[in-house]
Amino acid sequence: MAIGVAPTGLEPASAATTPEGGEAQAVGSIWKLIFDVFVQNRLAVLGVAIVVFMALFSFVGPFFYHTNQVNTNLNQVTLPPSLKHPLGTDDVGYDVLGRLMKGGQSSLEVGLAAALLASLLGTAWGAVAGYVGGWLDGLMMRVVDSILAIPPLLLILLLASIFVPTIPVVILVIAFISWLGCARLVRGDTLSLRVRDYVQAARASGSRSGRIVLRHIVPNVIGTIVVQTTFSVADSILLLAYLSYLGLGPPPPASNWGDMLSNGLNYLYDGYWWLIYPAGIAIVITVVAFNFIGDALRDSLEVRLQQR
Amino acid sequence: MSMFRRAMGGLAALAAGALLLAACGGTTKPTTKTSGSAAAASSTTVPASKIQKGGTATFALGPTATPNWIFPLMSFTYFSVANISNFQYLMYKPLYYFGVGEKPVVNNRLSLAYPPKWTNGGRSVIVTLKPDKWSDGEPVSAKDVELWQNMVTAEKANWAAYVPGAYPDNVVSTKVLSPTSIEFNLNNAYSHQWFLYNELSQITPFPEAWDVTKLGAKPGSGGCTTDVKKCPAVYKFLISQGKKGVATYASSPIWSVVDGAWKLQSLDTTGRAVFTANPKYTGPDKPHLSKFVELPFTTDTAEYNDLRSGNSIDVGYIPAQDVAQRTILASRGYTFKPWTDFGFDYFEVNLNNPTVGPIFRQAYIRQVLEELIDQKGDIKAYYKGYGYPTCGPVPADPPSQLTSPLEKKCPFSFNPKRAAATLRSHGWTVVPNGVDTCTDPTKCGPGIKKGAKLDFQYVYSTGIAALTQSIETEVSDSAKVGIKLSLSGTTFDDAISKAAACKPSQSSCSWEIVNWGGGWVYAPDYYPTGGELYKTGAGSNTENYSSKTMDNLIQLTHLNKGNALQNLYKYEDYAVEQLPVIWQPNPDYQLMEIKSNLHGFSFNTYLNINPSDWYFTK
Repeated sequence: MAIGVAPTGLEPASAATTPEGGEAQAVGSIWKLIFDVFVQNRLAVLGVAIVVFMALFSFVGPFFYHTNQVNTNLNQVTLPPSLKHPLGTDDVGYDVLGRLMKGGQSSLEVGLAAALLASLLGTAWGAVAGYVGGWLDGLMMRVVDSILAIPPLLLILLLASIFVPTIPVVILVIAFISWLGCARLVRGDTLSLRVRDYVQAARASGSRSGRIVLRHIVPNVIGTIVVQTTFSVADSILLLAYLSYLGLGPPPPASNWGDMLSNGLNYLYDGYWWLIYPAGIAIVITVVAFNFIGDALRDSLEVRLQQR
Repeated sequence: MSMFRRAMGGLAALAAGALLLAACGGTTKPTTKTSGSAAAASSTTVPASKIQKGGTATFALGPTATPNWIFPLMSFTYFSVANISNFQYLMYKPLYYFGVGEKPVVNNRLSLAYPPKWTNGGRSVIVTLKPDKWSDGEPVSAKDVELWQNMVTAEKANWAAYVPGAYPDNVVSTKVLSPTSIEFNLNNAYSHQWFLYNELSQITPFPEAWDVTKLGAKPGSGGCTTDVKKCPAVYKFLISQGKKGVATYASSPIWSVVDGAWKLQSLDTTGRAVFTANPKYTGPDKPHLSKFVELPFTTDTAEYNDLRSGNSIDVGYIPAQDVAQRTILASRGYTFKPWTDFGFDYFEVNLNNPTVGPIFRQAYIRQVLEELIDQKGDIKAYYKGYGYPTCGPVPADPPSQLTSPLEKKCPFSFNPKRAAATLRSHGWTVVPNGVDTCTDPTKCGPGIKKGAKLDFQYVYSTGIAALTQSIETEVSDSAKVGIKLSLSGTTFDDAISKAAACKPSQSSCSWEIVNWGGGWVYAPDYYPTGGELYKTGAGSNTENYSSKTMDNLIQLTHLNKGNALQNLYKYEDYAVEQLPVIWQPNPDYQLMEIKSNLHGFSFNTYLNINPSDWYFTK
């Protein structure tokens, strides 16, 4: 869908000469090209498979594997894995497999929502700064630089300690520190796009700045945005894990993989491996999977540019 | 493990004897040192030739509970064991020190004054000081006691231990008889023991160097020692010095004047405190150690990780969840022994909150909240058996006749079914795993409107895994009957500062439930009358409880009319049923792990530590 609008920016180009940005391709062929390159990357396919599996596991799994994730049970605290509890029970009696599903919901929701929000904000900020330029660009990018100068973990800990860490708040907090990279990348691309012929033509034909940014700039940096968003999902899941590990995530009875890992580490020396490994492995493979996808998308979109 | 605020205040004479248990009194000066650590109880004599001179001992503070206030006349916000027992007492000695080893008695050897003498038919008491000196060379004098007395009189509203009608209101006047003697004239003939254990015990003499209104001023120039009216200015100055930040304490010309065995070398914002032996200390028990270090931790797991390394902690604790591994620590040179305190555990609900205050003011609501805490289950599952249920304001451990028969019955123990029935009978529509709503305001109680919900914000102290687990279970059990508790974690220091006495119109009154992860230790008085906690307007009555009946019952125990034990029972039974706060499991204070080559640690039931007695063996 995102690539489908790419030719929009090519509209003003003359057919008589090689247009800036290369020959326009049929939408379908671009999709196919990207898809072909993407699926050639086995790690990317594995990444997609893992993400799909994790999503099904977290959101569909509870419909088939019923556990009580609302009420604690003092009589089944830290039970080892058994047929009744394949991954044992945790320190307050929740079934760990069921908890992993519930925790996965929060982790994926926060990861995706924070990444999308960050990309939205970063894209808008970077596109406006890059397109308008001048003092506004300088001001807006100094804001970005200033926030970037603060170590992100320090900033997120500060924000998380100020606000009561509910899921929506955590999403906002993570998005707040994640949009900066996207803003820089989009601004950089915009600086080169704003002087392209089709943008100049649009401006000469009387298009308003807002329309130019939305119709001609943003569609042409969509590849950058998609790749950045994918990596941002992985980063957001990790940030949520950091926060929860440090006790600043959403409080009980909410759960996420980082929170599970944090609780499990209280029992590091007790041999309760089922409180540590499942959550830890879930975090690692999900984050790695999103990174695989991001890498592959970057390669695929690079091919699209090479084709122009 | 749990963390406590301290209590002062309260009452009577007779039952002191009951609680003294088998204590034989605190006047006997030990002639031999006993081996400390867990061996403190073993009375092993260590030859003097084996005692190592010098060395640095480290002490693990409770999770997120750190020293953050130095001025001994403090408000509720700073009224904690971490500030008093673990910090101020090391530098500023109280007039009377309590605890001889594990015995809950006055320690005359470590006290600044000799036992008080009574005159005028019990309406006057004369306190005579021992010949101690401040580190600036000035003697610890009767004027220093008067400085405290005037200051607390002027600033009683800012003192966490203030009990209206009791100290200092009941002191009509004081008179300095000599440089070392001061006379307190009282408005009634109080019990001698009560006045010693519950009122004189609250006094910490201030040096003349603190009676100033600016830095560099001549000691005593503030005039508070002689004129109460001049005390507010001095108090304001001292508070400003305290608020300069903990990192300034060690170098402060004010706070560096000490009469204790230790001087503060440094204190940082993490709570790491380093003390060095006070070379000008004139009292008993001169330190064997050259340095004493308190280590802060954010969680009990972090502390345990450090403990397992075996390198940095001499006196630490093992979290309840790890207690099965104490044999590992034994192999690394630690000795295990639980440290129990004379206290009780609870959390507070804000009776003055403008929104939910009317709900909390209903005794049946507080009883319902109590019935949703599975204390026995929590103790077994999370505290691994190291603790006991709290059913009233008088500690059940050690067993004593002070605990009333009703409290022993624990009338509001875990019973979710009864809790739900109680709610229904009071006009609430119970929605299990939802939120209950008041549908019959005539039954819900005064001030509760139709549609009011049992939905509360619950702030709790993080860092102790067992506490978090028990709170999580409480949230779960409450949800079963439709009471929604939304948790918000914070540090211990922040939690106690949030639980502030307030009026509904004040912004500070927005808190609903605060659980700082512990409760209250009765110290230095151990007679558990609860005046400072539940009497209307008392300094630590931060739940804003107010009841004329309670006030009268507490006052009765103060006056010691009739049968003192029966008077105590009347107050106690009323508190058991009224539940001004919500009782919760009372775990052992800490499950101590002490390096076997460190001796002299006392398991003081009031949680006072005295590192002057500690020493390493060669």
